[in-house]
Amino acid sequence: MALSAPSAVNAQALSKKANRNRKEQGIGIFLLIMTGISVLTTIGVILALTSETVLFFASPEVTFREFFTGTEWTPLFAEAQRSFGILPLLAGTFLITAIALLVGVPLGLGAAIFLSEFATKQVRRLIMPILEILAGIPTIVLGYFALLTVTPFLRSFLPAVETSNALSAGLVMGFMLLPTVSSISIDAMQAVPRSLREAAFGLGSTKGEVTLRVVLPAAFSGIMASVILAMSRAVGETMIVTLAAGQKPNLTINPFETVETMTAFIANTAQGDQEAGSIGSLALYAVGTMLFLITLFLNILSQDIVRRFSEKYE
Amino acid sequence: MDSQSVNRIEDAVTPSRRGGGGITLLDDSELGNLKRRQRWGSFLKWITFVPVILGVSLILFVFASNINSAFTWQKVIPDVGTGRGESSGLIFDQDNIGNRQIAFTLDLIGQGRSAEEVSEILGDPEEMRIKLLRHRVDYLPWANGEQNQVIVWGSGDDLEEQYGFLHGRLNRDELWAEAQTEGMSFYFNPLLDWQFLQRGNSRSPQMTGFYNAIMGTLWVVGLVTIFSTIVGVSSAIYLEEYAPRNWFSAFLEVNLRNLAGVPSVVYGILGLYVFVRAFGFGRSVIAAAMTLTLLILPVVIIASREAIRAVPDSLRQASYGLGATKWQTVSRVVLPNAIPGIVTGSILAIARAIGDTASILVVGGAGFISSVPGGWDALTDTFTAMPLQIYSYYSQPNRDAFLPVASAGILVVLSILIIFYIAAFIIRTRYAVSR
Repeated sequence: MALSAPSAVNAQALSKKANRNRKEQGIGIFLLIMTGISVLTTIGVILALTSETVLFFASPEVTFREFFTGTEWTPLFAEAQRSFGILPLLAGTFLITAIALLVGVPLGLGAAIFLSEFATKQVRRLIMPILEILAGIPTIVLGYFALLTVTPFLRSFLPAVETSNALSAGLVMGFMLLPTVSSISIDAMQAVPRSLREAAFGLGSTKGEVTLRVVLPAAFSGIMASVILAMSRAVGETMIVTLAAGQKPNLTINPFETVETMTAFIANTAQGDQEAGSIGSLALYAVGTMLFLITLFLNILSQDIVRRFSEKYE
Repeated sequence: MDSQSVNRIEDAVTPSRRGGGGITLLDDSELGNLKRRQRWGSFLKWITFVPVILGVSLILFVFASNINSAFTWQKVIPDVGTGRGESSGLIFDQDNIGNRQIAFTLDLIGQGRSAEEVSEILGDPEEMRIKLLRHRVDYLPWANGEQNQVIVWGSGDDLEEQYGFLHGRLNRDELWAEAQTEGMSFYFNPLLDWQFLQRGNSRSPQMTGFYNAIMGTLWVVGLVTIFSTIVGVSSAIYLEEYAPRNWFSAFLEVNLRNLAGVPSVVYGILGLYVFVRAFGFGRSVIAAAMTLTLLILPVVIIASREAIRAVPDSLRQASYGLGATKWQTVSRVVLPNAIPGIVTGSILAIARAIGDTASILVVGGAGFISSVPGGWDALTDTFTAMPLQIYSYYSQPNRDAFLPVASAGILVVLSILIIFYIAAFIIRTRYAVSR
């Protein structure tokens, strides 16, 4: 019969289908390219940091030995007085990080225990978004808060506290870390199976004992991961320390004194007009590399803890 | 179960019914122990409630301290007759408080100008333009107890002293009397008002405004919204719907997780190296927008992926069953169902871009920017943005005078962010219920 008619339709349908396939392929390629941007970002970060850092160490003024063991950091001074020991910046960073963790971990963990174990569902639903706002306050706002409210308060009863000091920056940063620690810890504690809690209750444990001796140990890996992530945040946090902790590299463990962190050095140097390629500009990248490596290490460690130590139930 | 164990259980359950020959599981010391253990449990409940209270009160405290600082009381030495930024420092009763013409007239007469001079100044459009630039007309709600009072002040006025809202309000009468004897003006100056939002940058803390910063943020964050939505949603679609399960996809996953943890200041370094220097964009709007896009991209991608993953597979299969292609399925079935989640995630990410300072501080610097991006070369214009502007008040030479201005700026940013958070919260709860 009319064999030609269907075949004509088929030819049309086929070309339509071929068109459609081309379009589909094009879309797939477009999506892949867009995904590639995040890979390019990583490459860009590594390229920017390494190329300038290599130039930094290639400069005759700088030696590896001095960079890692020197106790003076004055790369922006006149040529004769420059020295490139990163220890004061590292000390400043870790002093503030330690204070922040001392404040933020107990607060975050406490909030997590309350919200996960004691709060009713309604209370949790009300409090969680509010804590999210705490995480969303721009750090420049917290920096001003540390500088203008916390520091004067501390100075009112601790006269030894300097106008810029590690303590107030660390205290405020601790509050900034609260939601980081609590949200991940809550997830970890909620993931502890009901059966474990019920077994403990069945053995006659009180609510407090179940929380401290069953839920917390079972959620330990998640809590550790949250603490390390918080540490990474604290190391990388910039505006609070730039505003409240000061701009003077200082190798000290005295929290009342002015210190400069790695991030504060980067922020302070970059806003000035350091000529591209000058030793000051190169030092910025070298410090950036250090910062990047530390935070990357902490992030990987945090992910690794979750993967390796997370209890598998069932 | 033998009768003895039944007795034991009963005794244990009702410890008060002791004696009667049965064996008791809980003697007095054990009962005290149990009470203590239970008290410890409820102690734990209250002690862990403290951090929640502290966290919430910190938010309120940040707001309160900035409101207290932005709504300031000022002691000012008026600058009479020295130039164009002058003012009489006198306070007038004026019913029509919106009319700046009347205020200027009263002020000029207060400075001792004759009526001809006044009409000459107010009649000259150029003089008037400069006058508006260098003067503010402020309505004084609590000047000295009277209503409807107005003051004109100029950029030449010397700001002697400022007080927070509470301090100024509580000691108003003494400060007022003090200022009178010292020959100064004393008044309430709410820095955060409409004029603050409409004025450009100025070296004078009384004259300065947030307009450049608001426009800069609109430009930069507007571009960030466009870029991050296109790139972020595309990446999320690829990773969830297209990517084959192989080493490359696993690598993309790890890469994304690590990018999310890179500090914002390192993104600034990336922007400085790649966009400012290598691409030659300079410290411009586009360089800042691209840097911020890369900064929030991991957040947008992760949130969008979660939203896409939450779309049930049965919907996809139904669509394929009807003969739809992959893209038809994605664009007409998956995306419409994932939109609420994507929008919520994007809003939170953009809120982060609005507040992020470190990255654009490295890219843009904290210079004095008195222009607003616009015209054909808007993208390569220098820029300031709200957080950057707030930071730049800190690096002003007369920092103390600018701190209340910074607080006013902070309140603007916080208000915008609160709106964003509420919007995200509403979208999330509304669509979570209807699902």
